[in-house]
Amino acid sequence: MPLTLTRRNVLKFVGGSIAGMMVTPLPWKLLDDVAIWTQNGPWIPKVPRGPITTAFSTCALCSAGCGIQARCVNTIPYALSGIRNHPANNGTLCPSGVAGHHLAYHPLRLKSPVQLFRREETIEVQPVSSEEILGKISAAVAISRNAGEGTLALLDQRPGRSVSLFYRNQLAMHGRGVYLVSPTDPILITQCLDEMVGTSFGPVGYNLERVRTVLSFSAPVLDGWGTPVQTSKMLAHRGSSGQKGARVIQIDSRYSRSAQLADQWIPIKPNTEAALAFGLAHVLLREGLYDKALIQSRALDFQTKGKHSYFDLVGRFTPDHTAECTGVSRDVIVATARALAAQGPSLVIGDGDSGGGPLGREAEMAVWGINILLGALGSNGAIVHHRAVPAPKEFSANGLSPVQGVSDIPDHSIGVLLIDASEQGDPLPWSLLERKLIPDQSLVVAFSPTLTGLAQHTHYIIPTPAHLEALTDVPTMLSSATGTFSVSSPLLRRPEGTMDAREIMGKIFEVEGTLEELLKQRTSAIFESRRGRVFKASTGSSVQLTELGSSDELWAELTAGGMWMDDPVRSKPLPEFHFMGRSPAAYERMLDAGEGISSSNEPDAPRKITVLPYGRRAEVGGAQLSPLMTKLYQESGLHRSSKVAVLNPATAKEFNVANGGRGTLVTERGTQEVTIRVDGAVMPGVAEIAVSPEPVGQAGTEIVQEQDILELIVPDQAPTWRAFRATLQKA
Amino acid sequence: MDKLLITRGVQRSPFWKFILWILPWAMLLAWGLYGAYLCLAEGLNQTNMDNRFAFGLWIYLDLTVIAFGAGAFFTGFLLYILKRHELKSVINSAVVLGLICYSGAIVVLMVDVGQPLRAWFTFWHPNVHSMLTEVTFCLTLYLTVLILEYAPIVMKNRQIRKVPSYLVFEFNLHKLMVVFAGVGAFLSFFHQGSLGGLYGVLRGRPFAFREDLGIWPSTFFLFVLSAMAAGPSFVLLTTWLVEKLSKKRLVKRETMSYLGKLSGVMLIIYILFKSVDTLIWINSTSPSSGFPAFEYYDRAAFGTWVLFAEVVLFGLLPALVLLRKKLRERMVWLIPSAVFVLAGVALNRFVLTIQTLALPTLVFDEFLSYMPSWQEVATFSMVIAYGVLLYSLSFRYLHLFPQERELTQPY
Amino acid sequence: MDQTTVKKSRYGMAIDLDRCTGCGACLIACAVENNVSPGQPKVNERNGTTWMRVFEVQDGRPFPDAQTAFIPMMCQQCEVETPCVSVCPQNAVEVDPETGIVGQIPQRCLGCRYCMTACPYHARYYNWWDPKWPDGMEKALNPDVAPRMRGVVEKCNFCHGRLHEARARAAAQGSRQINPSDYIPACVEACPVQAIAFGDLNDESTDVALLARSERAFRFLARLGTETKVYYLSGRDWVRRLADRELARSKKETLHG
Repeated sequence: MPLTLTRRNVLKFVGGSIAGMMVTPLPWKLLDDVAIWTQNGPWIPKVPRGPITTAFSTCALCSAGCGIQARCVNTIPYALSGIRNHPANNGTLCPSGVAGHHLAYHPLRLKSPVQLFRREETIEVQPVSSEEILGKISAAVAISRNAGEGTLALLDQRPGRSVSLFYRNQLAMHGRGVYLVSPTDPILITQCLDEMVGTSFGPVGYNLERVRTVLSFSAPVLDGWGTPVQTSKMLAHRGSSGQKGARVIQIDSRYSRSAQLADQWIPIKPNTEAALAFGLAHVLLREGLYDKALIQSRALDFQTKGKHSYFDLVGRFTPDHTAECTGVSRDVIVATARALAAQGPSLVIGDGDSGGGPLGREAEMAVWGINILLGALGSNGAIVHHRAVPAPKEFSANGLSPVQGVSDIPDHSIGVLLIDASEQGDPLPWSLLERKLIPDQSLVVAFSPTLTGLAQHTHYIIPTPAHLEALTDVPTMLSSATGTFSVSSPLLRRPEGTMDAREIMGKIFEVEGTLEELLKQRTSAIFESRRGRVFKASTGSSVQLTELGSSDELWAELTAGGMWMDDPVRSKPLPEFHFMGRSPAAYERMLDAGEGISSSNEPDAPRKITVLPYGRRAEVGGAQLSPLMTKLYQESGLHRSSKVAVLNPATAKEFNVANGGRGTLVTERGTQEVTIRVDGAVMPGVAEIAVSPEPVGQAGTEIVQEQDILELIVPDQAPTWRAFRATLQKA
Repeated sequence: MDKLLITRGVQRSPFWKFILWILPWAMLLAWGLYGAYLCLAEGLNQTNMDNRFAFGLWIYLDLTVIAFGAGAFFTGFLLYILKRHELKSVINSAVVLGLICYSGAIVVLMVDVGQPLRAWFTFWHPNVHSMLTEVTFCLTLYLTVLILEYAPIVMKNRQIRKVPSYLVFEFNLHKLMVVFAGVGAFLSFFHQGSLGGLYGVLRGRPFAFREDLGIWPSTFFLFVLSAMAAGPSFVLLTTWLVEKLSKKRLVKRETMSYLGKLSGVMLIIYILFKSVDTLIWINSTSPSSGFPAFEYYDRAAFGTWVLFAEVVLFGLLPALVLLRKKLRERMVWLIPSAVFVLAGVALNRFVLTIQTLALPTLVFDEFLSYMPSWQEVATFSMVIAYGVLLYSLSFRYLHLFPQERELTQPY
Repeated sequence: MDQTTVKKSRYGMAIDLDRCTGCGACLIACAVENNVSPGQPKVNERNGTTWMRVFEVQDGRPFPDAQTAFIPMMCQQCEVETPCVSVCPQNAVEVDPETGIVGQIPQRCLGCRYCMTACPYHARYYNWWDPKWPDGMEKALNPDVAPRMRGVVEKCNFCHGRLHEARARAAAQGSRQINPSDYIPACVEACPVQAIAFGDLNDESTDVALLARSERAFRFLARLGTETKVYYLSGRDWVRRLADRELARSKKETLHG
């Protein structure tokens, strides 16, 4: 049949084709393809493809020194986990550590130097060259050195690192250099002990293995205070494992995580810890629950009769008087003191919480005092003396600038303030720092990977490598029984425009050398000491340092998730000491701290609320919060930011605010809006507010100033900011 | 032009008046379209729904609207299958209402689902165990039926019927009306029921979960019955409203009264079943899953008054009124009763959608509240505006009420 | 290969509520592993995406006697009458008969959220926004898990990516049976106090099977009859009474006489 091209035939052909096509896979495949196309828009990021590798390092977000194992794609880490059997974390990580590899992508990350202009609620930045900033610093440093106008101060957010030794060394040589740390730094706690003993007692740590009873004065002992391994051990007796752990008694004004998890929570009126410490000492002394002969032979201010002696001081804090001061019942005070003596070995921990501010010098000395009475400090106690981590000789030869707390230096004295915020440490109210500066003449520069935390208050920022881009060492944790040393080696390539703190300081002081050289020198010093053991990530076990062939071998282990742990030393016997320290008006200061004179004599109109700021380790600065931390802060109520105030229902009623409603906190320094959360477990009359700003999950169009409750602190009010008064109104 | 489209022998307001009436509704429609656009373009973060309140205003009103739209199938069923010819005078109006309700609900559903482009997956990978599959299939098919039922009404327009082939088509469609009515009734029975089943199968939500009757939970039948009660009331109420607005008699009073009677009968059956069902649920179903039933009524504004309102105030009361001939023949009784019937059914849908989601299941969870965002309100207003517009146009240009000419002439 | 040699598993968890410190490491590890994006500026507790959530629960006694427990809550992997499976109109939720894991197929999900209303544990999350990561962070996504776009539902699947990897590893060694130590969900791995045990409930010798049979074990809303595979452990009476409302009520009655 001839094929003629008529319209009818064409239509028939087309129709037939369509019908025939239906029985082929073609249209159905097309349909499925459309389905696949609708599955993911092209704007949804595709997952990276490339070789999968594993790398090891050490987390430097806090001084726990957890070993981390990174799974990498194209050498970029995409998931972190702990190294099994690692002495600090045994295969686990805290939430900050788990998301540590995200910090390099923080929305407020800086990759080139900037000058800052603070506006009403935002911050504007303008790019400048690092040479310009360094030139300004050098000029100011020269003026400070030659003309004597103002000091050169360096605030170290993570003291105890090798680079910290370098700083102290350089500042000592400068002449007018001041080395500053946050008043909450553990170094200052051991300084209190030094003040009691009269000389440097040397580094101390806690041997938690030995302890049966732990009494914590607001330290977050079960919430990131120690290493994950230590916390896990302390919690081991909970649950079914049948293991034994220490009994933890938490003294806390807040219903903190540690208060929630402790075996006993003793709520206490804010800022009355010193009184309770004296009250406990009173019971121990009155009931003779201490080694009389030893104390009498060692304590130089322990005359049982004389006025202004420790005995006299503590004598004032009868259980009834202490109960009045602290709000803790008389019976609890007596029972606690007895339990500490009977269920030893006992340990009393001061320290406070990293966000909540220091306990205060006097309270810390009062805590050391109980430890001494309980025998915790001495040959068989839980507070152990350990040796400093070996350091290159040049540091001791050139001298080290003393470690000073920010509140210990005179106001209006700083001409140039350098803030090493490359590792974020404990939070610090800017107001405390600001009043130390010479008004309108000072230069403030931060070295920081991000535009967060204290860096938001500076004139210039020189960007440093972020966590896991930087090479840094991790200092020994206060809770550690021996010195430790580990190195956080970079897992990510650092961006072009960044400089590490050693490079920056090298340029300012014109000193050659790199951080890597410094850390290698330190490693050599450790190797040469021939002490201690080394944990090897590759095998998951520890070996004697002497089994390693060379310093380079040690370096290789340390940079791959390893850790050096010093050998324990025999504890020193209790030296001679003063319970109240040696400063002139010691008795009066201790008494004031106990009676709370400095903080409680304000008129009570209008009625104010007591704000209790607190922080969580490694979650207190914006830079340390992975964008994913929105999961804990905004997307679940598990962690709270500075924007949330937690109140007892009765208190909320009293201030006319409701659960979920808004309130405004006002002090002389400013106002802050908070969302109210009501919690029946919280102490009446207080507002618990975290110091952390909310994590930034996404970059905004402008840089909004962090809302941090510490901004409200009026610096003259008290030497510590663990509790401060503010008015609270319904917003 | 406008005049030429209007059905011969009926009076309609002047064109400018009609435009004035249309204008605000058109503006509402535009606002609604903008709200819907935001939801489609930006995503459902524009709404105040969340992971716990995964259903909100839209689903609640969809259910309500679909129940109200049941008048179309129920009237059709009675007229064409059971030959209740007194309903002939409202069938066209009922069909338009049904079409509005169903098409509107489907439009909102398309905004409500996160991936409207994947809506056809339900036909491609259907899960035959899901009530929602049943709903989707029946809704789409029934919407087709409604369009086919609406088509002859459109084709009877004065101008359109001039095209001879349309007239033939219309005639043929009309002959098939019985089939459509049958299919419509069948489909409606299933999707009205399945909509109830949506909640009744929620084992994890003991507030909504009900025992099975055969293969369906009891809410399946309760929804069918309550929709059959609501449908005639809705037709009745809209007809009355149109009469008031157009200042014309459109339907004989006997028809109105008959619609009221239908509602009353269905409602009393529904209330009977509902009461038995509630008692079984309170005393057996709920407690056996660890949920003491009184706790549901122990939270926020949702006291036992809700149950009382649903069963007695908006159930038994209007049913008794509508069942009494003397009362339902008087408009002062009839119209408020119809309003009560609709309120009861709307409350039922509200309780099942909103209260179910607001109530916590885990002991340590809290009672939640939810307030729709303006985008949600706008999107739904769009459907209302669309409904009013479509009905107004249909009323003006199509012959919705066959008795109109006869009833208006004597005056 | 012989099919009968492949043993069917019932993966489950046992979470020790007496050990959980509420730190949230599990929650973050989960988000990292499963490429859940950081929250948008307007995100809140009710529209965020956290495949697991840790509830902070108190016993209701006032200051200073309150007791607190932390309850990590994720998909409980219901085995019987799985509420979310039967409701999904397009088969986007399935129970894998080989593992007992309830899987979500986001690519097939319509986003109707019916499954979310069906879930008694509120363990399902809807993507109210498109996922978005800060600049550069998309290079640090887990290559094993595809990000989901807005408008679909997702939930815990016991780290499906890790199961795949474990299977691939087993296959490379010519085995069809995975090595239990190769398959550990991210939350279990991260927990600093090792409060979560994970494994095959069918294998009597696993820790999780042992713990699930212990006296301290209970399941939430067990009376719904869905036979969940996530067990919780507590020796504290008030915590165990949180299991369902009837139990919680009996507590109140004894308290108030």
